Amino acid sequence: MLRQTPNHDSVAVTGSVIGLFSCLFGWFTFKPNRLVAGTSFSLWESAGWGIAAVIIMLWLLCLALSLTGSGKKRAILLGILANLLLVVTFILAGLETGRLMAGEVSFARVSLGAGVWITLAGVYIVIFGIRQRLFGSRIWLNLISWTGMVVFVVLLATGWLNNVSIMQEFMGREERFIQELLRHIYLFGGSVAVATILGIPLGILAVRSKRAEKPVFFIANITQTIPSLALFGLLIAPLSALSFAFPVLREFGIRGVGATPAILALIIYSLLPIIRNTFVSLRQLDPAVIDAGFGMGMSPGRVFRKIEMPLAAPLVLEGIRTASVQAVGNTAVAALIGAGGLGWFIFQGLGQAATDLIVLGALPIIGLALIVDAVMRTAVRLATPKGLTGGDS
Amino acid sequence: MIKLENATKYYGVSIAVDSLTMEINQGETCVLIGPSGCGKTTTLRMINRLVEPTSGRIYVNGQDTSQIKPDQLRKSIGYAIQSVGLFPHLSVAANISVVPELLKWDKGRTAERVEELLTLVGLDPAEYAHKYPNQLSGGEAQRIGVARALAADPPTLLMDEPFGAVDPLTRERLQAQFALIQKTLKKTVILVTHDLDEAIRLADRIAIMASGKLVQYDTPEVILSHPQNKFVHDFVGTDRALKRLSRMGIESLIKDTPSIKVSASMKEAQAICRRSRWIWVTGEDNRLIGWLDGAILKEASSVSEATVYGEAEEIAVTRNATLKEALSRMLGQGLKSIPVVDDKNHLLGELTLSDIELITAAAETKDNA
Repeated sequence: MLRQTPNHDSVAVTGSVIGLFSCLFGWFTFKPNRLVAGTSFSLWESAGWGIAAVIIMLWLLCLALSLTGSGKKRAILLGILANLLLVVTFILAGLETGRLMAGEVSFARVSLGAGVWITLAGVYIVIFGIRQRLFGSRIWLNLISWTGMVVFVVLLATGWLNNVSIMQEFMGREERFIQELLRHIYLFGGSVAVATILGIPLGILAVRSKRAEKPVFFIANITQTIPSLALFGLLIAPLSALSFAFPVLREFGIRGVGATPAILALIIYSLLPIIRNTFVSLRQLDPAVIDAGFGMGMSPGRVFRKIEMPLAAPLVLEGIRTASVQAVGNTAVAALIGAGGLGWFIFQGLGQAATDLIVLGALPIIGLALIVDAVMRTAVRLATPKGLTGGDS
Repeated sequence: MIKLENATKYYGVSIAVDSLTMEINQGETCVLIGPSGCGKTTTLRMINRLVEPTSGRIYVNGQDTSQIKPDQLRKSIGYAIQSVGLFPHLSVAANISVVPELLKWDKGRTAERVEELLTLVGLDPAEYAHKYPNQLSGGEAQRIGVARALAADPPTLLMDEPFGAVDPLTRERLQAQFALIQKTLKKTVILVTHDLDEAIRLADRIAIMASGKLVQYDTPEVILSHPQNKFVHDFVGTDRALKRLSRMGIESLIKDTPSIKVSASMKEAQAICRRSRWIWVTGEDNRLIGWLDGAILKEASSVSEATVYGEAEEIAVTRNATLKEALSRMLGQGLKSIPVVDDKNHLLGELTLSDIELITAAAETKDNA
């Protein structure tokens, strides 16, 4: 390697220090019922000094490794350590919650304390920091990035984490959870699909016609400045008026509250990134390339299919990615106007001051956003023509 | 053959091309030149209907272009532009195959043609066919652009500053190569440029344009010796005599010159030195490798020791160089003669400054007569 590497990795150092700090906070909180404050237990109080020492040792090792160099071997070692910490934390979470819950009544809850969350944050900061050093070897990159997630899912499936309070909330509402998760996917997926079908032609129209460009962007931009909650609210009045005037519309689900205004608002939000990226993707094309296409006798349709479309596709997909990730988050708010979705748990939790319920809604939304992001990034990568990737054939 | 009859183009109220009438003969290279905004590019683009004339008619091979569908017309006319416009998402081979594909050639024939064309423009097919445009240098890209324009072997070629976007050295090489290709292909070429040297070098006829009108349309020789009016006179500049040299080849001026093999004995060398102070030195394979100074030979122990070595590309010109190139090399190196080599660097003879003077003086008197 010719590039001179700095002799430490500041991101991994930050992650390790944060990880060490986790030991200063409580790891588990026992509550006789889910509404009271409860008692907090530190790492050594619950797991004992031995385990605490092992965890502190692992973090110190991480810190030492990230302070003393930034080579690839070190990155792999750091990645293994980080994943080890993750697995130990997950196992501990199952063990300790089980121990604390033993013999308790069903109202009792053991929730994960700040220490656990900080540990997770520290681990993923370290992994994020070393990722770029591993771009050379896809196997290690994927192994280190995803092992923790896989272990988590396996533990979840085997019931190891069933005593954690969030899981207890989940188990009481399993059917509802799956229903709301599917509804969430339906709401954001449907909206983005419709926004794509509308947005791409609008973007093309804006590029092709000077007259259309201004109004298209004026409307698309202005909708972005309305806060999502306000937009959801704003749509209630006209839609309920509409359904009152034409009651037959109610049979198609058009009402002031529920899915219709939510989907409408989400479509409006998703339009701008898609229109804008379609517009830019076509506008940025080298005019000489288009001119050459026509000059060689391609028909306008062929120029569009063979030149403009393949060259514009990555940027258009990038717009759909932005819209999708944004829509996953915005859909949470849709629960407020009765559209359902994972936001329902968040607002229920807020109403009952039940943190675990909020987390039960929020965590899957984050997970969903990450998955959608990863899937769309892959799509962008696959759609990028070989000649545009900067190099080797 | 291409014929323009009162071809006119208005953009709004401003006129870009003003009732242009001209004919371009089969197999000739016609260069459109003039100050920017003179309408030369518009004229070019009217021929393949990338720009529709406001009025007037244009005929390509006897057919009125307004009667042919634009796509159809363009498939039969090669088109190369300054910014090349290679499709970045397609490999070099796929770029060249665009028109053959539009014409529905079968795969085998297209692949063969790609190979043929890459070889023609001097790029190794094995190395270049699968490259992408972003892996090419500017000069390579422009050569691919020319190859692409030639793909379906169109009888007519439209080129808009095809050698514009590269450094002067590369441009000169591309021009020389194009001149050579055109010598064998004999396409009807219309080339737009703002570089007078390029026009003089490549054109059979130059069309000088100003504000949408044709000012003078003639062979480079006539334009240089008899500019029609003050505009053309100023446009071709005060170095007309020098420019004319670039229309003249050196081949007829090459004369024999003493040379010696590097392995020759001292005796042979001394014999030649009695007749001439400078001797060109060649290797065993007759390739030029340097020269020898009689004065140094006296103190040396072998021919090889007395030889001043130099690359043939540096010290000699090739037989298809122009007088202008040869002269500029001589002046640059302060020599009164320069060796001439063939394309394998074999020594053919030499060219002397006094011969160049003679021939230019003769041309001058012929013009004034």
